[in-house]
Amino acid sequence: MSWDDAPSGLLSLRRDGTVLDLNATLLGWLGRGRDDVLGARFGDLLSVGGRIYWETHLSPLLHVEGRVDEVALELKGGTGRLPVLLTATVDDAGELVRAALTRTTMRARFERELVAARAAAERSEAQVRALQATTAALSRAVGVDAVGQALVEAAVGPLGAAAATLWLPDAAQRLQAAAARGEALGTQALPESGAVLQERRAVPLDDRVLVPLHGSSTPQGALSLRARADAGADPLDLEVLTAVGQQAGLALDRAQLYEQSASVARELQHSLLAVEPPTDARFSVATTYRPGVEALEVGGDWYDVFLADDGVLSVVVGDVVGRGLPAASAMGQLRSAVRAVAGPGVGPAALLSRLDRFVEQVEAAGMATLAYAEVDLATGLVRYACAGHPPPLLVTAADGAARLLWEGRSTPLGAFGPAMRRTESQVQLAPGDRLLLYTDGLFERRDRPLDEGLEMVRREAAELGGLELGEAVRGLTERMLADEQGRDDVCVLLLSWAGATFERHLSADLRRLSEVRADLARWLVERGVDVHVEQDLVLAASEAMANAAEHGNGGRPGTRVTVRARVDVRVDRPDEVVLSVHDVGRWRTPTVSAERGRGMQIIAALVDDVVVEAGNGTTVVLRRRLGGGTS
Amino acid sequence: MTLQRVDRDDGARILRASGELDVVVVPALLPSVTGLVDGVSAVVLDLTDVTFFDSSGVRLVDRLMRECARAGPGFRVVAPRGHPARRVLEIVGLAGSLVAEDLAAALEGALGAARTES
Repeated sequence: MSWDDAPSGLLSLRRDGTVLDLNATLLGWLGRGRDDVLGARFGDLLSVGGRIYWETHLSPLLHVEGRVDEVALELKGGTGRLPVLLTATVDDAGELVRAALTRTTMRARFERELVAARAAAERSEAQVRALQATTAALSRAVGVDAVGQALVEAAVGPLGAAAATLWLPDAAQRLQAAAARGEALGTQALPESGAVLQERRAVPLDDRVLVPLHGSSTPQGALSLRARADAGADPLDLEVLTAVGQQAGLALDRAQLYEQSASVARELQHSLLAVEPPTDARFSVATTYRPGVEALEVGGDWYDVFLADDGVLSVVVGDVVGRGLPAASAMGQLRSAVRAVAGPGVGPAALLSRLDRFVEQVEAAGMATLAYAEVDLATGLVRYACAGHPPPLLVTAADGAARLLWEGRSTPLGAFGPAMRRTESQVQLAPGDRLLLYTDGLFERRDRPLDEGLEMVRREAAELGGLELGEAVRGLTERMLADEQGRDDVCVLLLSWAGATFERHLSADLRRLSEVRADLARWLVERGVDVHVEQDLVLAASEAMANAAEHGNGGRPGTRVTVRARVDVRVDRPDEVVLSVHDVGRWRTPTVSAERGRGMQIIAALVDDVVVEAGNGTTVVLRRRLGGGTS
Repeated sequence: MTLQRVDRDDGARILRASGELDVVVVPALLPSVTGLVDGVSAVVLDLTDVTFFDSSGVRLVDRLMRECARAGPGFRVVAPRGHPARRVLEIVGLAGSLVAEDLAAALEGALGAARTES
């Protein structure tokens, strides 16, 4: 190949860069005549940048190293700058430089394509990652709100949008802005196009992309995204967004089903726990139920208070394994079973044994835990048993001390073979003593040993012992749940026993009235009541019972009614006797008959306070202070 | 509860009650009261041995008082100071000159009243 025909530009230079010779190829690139170029400096053939680079770096390098290889430069060509690669060598004497220039146009294009291909591959991988991240976020979200938040979060995160708004149907099936990121909620209008929403793919609309979200049946909503405007930002990928739309639609489907089920469970649980506890002068009960903070679904916690028979109060707090509808319905069945099984002469251990047999039939109630206690309202004796449940807590009124009742423990329901025996224990209440039952959500925390949690319950309950019962329960739950961390459902039941009581039942014919008077007189004297006060109270009680018999039978001769008389020596006011007489009828104005009018006149003169309470029947409550007569 | 009748030579009739006078026993007693005060000059209801006395007892006293006012004899009640019946009668405003401390005073009062009224 001759000098001039070579496909490269060839030239020779003197050591100082003066062009000695160059071939026709190079002259053609330069668009100049041979005579014009010979004698010129090589730097003069280059672009300004190239000349500086040549003079300051390449030329010195060439003479030190003896050669340079494939250095990119730009020639001042006839039609503009020409990118070239320079390869040059210096002869042994260091006087002559031989150089070859090759055009790099083709190579540059090839390299650009390589870079583009790599970028495309990287973007595609990023898209797959974005889709995966979005799908994962959607599947982690619990409930419709959480799915919506996860979706707009993903839109401005992995999906690369500048802003996004989510529309979901309201109760009337109209789409409403439900969540937004990168733009304020409600500032965007939903593109008015029903047809677009029926599409099953992402659709560009003006400067945004609209992604219809389809559930299994109906459109679940729409996501609208605005692309980032900054340089280098990737455009929104319609294929990825179409896939996201499908995933989000299904996620919303699941979330709705879940919420419906959770809502039914919540209502079921609420209806079971909302029942008013019985009220009675002999005891007080305060309860609370707080749903968990982490899960939407209710747990299977419950409490119950009922009179197992007339003189025995049953209290129970339990916890069914699991959450949601199955747990709530198992709880309901177990709660009913406790009520059905509890009764005169059964007792806590036998009750648990019977519940063991019950949970064999109701699988979802298996492994449930519960604490059960029966209070003899006349004596204050408590029999209790715990099936795998946290121990009840006794707060004594006399010294304000609190202690956990660790006796009477056995395994959760259905957790052992029929040969194993249930155990129970007992503890004596003094007037004003309190018994606390609760579920583990009150004290169990992931980051705290159980015994520390129980100790905290004990300490707080003791501190709150002086408060009114309802306030004590509120205070205890507030203090124990102040952290709100990882909290499960919580049930708390606090029972207070008022003290020894006197109770008798009579029929409306008052056949045993004299006997009841004698019993009441003896009972009062036994409690140290002054004999004159005792006579006054017995007379007042007798008049009240006569009234109750007259009014309680509702004017229908022969109708039998139950009349109750009760005397409490109240703990909070030990200087007072409270006497209540209950009948099942309605009191009429006492002036109906002269005798009954005189009866009320006599009662009023004998006691300090008379209150007639209408409700389930009528209760007349008489109060008489001790240590002094009435005047 | 018993109600014992003692007729004296001076024309006074003593009704001696004992036991409990309450809502169970008094209503059965009332129908017999009507004829009880006829033909005598004085009636004394002696509550000394009564152990319980309530508004039903007041009803008995009230009925006897009205019957005597109708038929003529004087009427007094024996209920010593501190006696349960005395307390109740004071509460309903029937004490005063009607209630005597003992039987002698009651008889004197009842016979005197009869004389005054006749």
